Amino acid sequence: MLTPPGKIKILSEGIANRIAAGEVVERPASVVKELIENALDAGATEILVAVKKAGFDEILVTDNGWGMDDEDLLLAFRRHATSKLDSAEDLLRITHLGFRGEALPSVASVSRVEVLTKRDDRPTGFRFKVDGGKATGPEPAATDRGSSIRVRSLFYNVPARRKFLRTPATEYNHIVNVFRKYALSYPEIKWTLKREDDTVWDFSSSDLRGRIGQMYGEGALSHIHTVEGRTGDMFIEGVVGGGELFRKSRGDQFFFINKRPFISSSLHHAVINGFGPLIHYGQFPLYVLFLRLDPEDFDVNVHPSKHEVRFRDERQAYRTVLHGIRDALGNTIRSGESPVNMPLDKTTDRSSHFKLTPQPHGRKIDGREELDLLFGNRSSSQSRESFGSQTTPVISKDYPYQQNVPKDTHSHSNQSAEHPSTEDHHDSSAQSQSDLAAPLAGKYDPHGETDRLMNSEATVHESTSDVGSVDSSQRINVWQLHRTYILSQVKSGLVVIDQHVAHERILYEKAIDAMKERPWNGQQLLFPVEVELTPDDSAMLEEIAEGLGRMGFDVEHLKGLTWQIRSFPAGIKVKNESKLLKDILRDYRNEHELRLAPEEALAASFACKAAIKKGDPLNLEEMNALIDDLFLTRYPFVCPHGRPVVINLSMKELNKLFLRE
Amino acid sequence: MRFSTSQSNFIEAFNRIAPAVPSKSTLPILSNILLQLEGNRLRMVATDLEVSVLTEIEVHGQEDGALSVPAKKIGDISRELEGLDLECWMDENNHLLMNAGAGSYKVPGISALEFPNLPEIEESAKVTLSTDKMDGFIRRLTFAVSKDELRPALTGVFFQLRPNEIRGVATDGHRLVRIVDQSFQYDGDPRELIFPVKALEMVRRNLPEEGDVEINIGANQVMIKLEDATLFSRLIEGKYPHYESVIPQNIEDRLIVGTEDLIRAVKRAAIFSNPISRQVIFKVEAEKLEITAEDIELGGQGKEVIVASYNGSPKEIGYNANYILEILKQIETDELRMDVGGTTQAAIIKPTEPAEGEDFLMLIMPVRLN
Ligand SMILES: Nc1ncnc2c1ncn2[C@@H]1O[C@H](COP(=O)(O)OP(=O)(O)O)[C@@H](O)[C@H]1O
Ligand SMILES: [Mg+2]
Repeated sequence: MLTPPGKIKILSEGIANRIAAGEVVERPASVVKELIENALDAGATEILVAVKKAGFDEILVTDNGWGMDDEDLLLAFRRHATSKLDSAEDLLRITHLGFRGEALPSVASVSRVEVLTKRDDRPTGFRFKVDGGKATGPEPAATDRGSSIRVRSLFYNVPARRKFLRTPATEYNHIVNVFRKYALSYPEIKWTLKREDDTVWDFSSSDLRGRIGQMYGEGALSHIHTVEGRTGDMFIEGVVGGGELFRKSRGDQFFFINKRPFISSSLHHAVINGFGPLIHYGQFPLYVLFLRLDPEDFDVNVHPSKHEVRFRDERQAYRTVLHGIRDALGNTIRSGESPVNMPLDKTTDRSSHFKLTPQPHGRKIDGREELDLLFGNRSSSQSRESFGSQTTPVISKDYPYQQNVPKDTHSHSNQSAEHPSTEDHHDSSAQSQSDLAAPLAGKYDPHGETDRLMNSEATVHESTSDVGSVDSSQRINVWQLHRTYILSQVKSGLVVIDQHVAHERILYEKAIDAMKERPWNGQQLLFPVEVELTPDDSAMLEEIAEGLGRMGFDVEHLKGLTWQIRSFPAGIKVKNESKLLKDILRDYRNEHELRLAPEEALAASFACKAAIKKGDPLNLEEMNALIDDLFLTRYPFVCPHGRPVVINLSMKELNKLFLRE
Repeated sequence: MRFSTSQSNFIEAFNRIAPAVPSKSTLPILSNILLQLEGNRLRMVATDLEVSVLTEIEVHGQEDGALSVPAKKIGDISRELEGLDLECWMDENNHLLMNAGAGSYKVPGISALEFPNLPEIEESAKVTLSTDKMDGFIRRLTFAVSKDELRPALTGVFFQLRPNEIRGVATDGHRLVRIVDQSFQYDGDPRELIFPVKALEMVRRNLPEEGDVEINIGANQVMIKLEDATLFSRLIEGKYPHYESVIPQNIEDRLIVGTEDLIRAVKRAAIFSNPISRQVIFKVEAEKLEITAEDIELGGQGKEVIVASYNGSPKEIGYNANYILEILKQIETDELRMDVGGTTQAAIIKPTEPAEGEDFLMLIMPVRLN
């Protein structure tokens, strides 16, 4: 049957639009996205988005861009009509958001659209309506510069599509997300979002930080870190948030490429990887990251809804993001802030610390110096003069039983019984020494610990262990609190370090280093320890034996489920090798599910299980060594599980607590 | 109970037993010491249920009786009464009342009936050691015991009694000390005992200047009689590892070096070792020992060269500086002997001239250099 050509064309275009609509207009939020992009492309500086019934009833986007005239309008609603691409070559250099010219016709094919628009250079504006593919207008109409596009009854003629949609609440959320993306990407633009005539957001023109403040509250600003970097000709900038800005679910992660939003699981992975051990599995940091690169080096044309991007060099993109994040967090740490939420003293001026603090690796600065840099110098009066009198070891008036030291004919023999040796803080002689020396303090004097803390002369566990000791007079302002925390005075106030997590952080990085670069030497055992494992653990151990080996853990499969431990990481105070191994295996199983790389999981398990525990007594030497080691790590402020390691209580905060103005 | 005595008499006795009071205990009574008066003899007891110490002093007794009193309070107050005479008595509410100088004090006690009884020892063997020997054993052995509560046997010092021989062994699995003494009189059945370290340290605290120490051995308890105190201790149960098998038998490469020189060199080198691994490397070659340490992370390096007698093959072996220093400190002779085996073999360290009738040997396992 012959049909007039024109008609066929219209029909086929209508169908084509409906088909395209299926791809472009998935849901109300897709309409919002297309309209916003058009407004941005039209050079708008103010954009209003108003929705009713999650966009099902009405979506209105008003802009103050350059608008359209009657000709533009007619063209705009034709498929592949776009003013934005002049030749096929242009497809390779897309700088506008829209370029396919299929949004308006697609939207119009599944809704009732009304446009009110005026071009600057035309005396009058126009009204144009499309209802179920049937156009009315354009007819002249009075309106201000810019365009206002109203989309009603979305999907009224596609009942199947309506069925696929979620609840209005979900659909509304999608709309908000679209709005947020562009509001973040274009902070210089004034944005308004309305829902059923109520103003949800009204953002004045600002910059990225300002926009984040408007969107997440000013408080968020203290938890965000600026990202800035490049690899080759790929640039990254934006912000990343830690601490309170860690989320339990996705939603606050935004990537833009040349200001165009996109999603990328591989780059999200790069961000998480950049956080490394600072973040838990299941936590999502807020980020707003802008990649900038030559339009020829990526392709947004993968999918019509333009969510995804294909990079010419995927690995470069990955590295750019990874390093951008690492540097941002690293700088933050070096500037004395914690990358995750920690009440560090903000009043101290740390501007100079950037220069003072050398690069994190290979520097020859000890932890105390580092603390001073971060939190201010210890008051000098405290550091020298008063020490002369403090050189008497540990025990003085609080430890009466010391008066009755055993007669000691051998000059050095006393040492092991009396003073905990540096090498082993589990030393039973240390333990029993404190038991023997102060058997009652803990029991009867609930304030004993505090008293000793208040009085540094009595509190300080000055190590007399001369094993590799450093001039302890310089390093005396350290105390152990309840065998859990290390306290240190710094100029700005008080620094509190959690001994377990601090050690965990140290061992974690050491273990990673052992697996990737320098293997850890193994302290060999006189009596190799045999361990009987469960079938699961045995299989798991087979997998990780090599990694363990690089960490100094020499394990060998004997037979069946029996393994033998020949050595363990040198310098680690292991009480029970087989228990440690089993603990690591158990923990590794969990970690493995949470972490990206098996080495990280293994290092995390090892660090957690081998680290000194709450309750382990530390002498002065050990505490100082711990602080030194801690500040040699890349992320001294957070343990591999994301818990804080160091807390700074400033004098200001303390004064406030004591109601002292 | 009512007695009077000088402060110094009282506090001296108190100090002998107080270390046995546990620093923290879930049983409140263990924080107390027992005072028990019979005639003119005041007996004081402290216990943590594993180790108990008893001492007796002469006082001026007026009325027999017994009461347990908080050790901390009693110690604190009596220490402050220097030079005074104390008069103590108890009332019917289990309070200890004390007058001294112009002061009078009242300390709430707990009935003596609640205080744990001292263990009864069914004596099955008895050995006598000189104070000196006892001191030497304890001093050189306790440092090497393990802290691993999961392997209780290793947390104690292992004694083996054989006809005319006593051996003391301690190990934590990384190093081992063995003292064999054959100048010793014993004709009972061979026995093996594992002593808790705390008991030995308590013995050492209360060792007399000279004289003998008598050890009465029961099934799972011992009683050690000292001049001024008697100590009761539980013995650790469990099987001690077969330590003889890990002592290398025929290492031929032998190093002789000055003890003090070596200690100083290791200490200095260790300053440059990695603070975690504390690793120092012993490089032995003809007539010299070179000790090096390096902290790759921090970039420091230390090197010490000592003239030594060595004619074995050159080798390089790593040790934990802290372990080796603790071992070296036990050597009392000017020179020491170190039998350096392979890189996976324990080294043997001994004094060059052992004490009369004694074989004193220490082992240290090297760090495997990756
Ligand atoms: N808000 C607007 N202001 C000015 N011009 C617009 C606006 N919306 C659409 N247009 C015009 O209509 C054309 C078609 O829009 P669209 O179908 O979204 O295609 P694309 O954005 O891919 O070009 C655009 O190229 C543009 O010229
Ligand atoms: Mg468009």
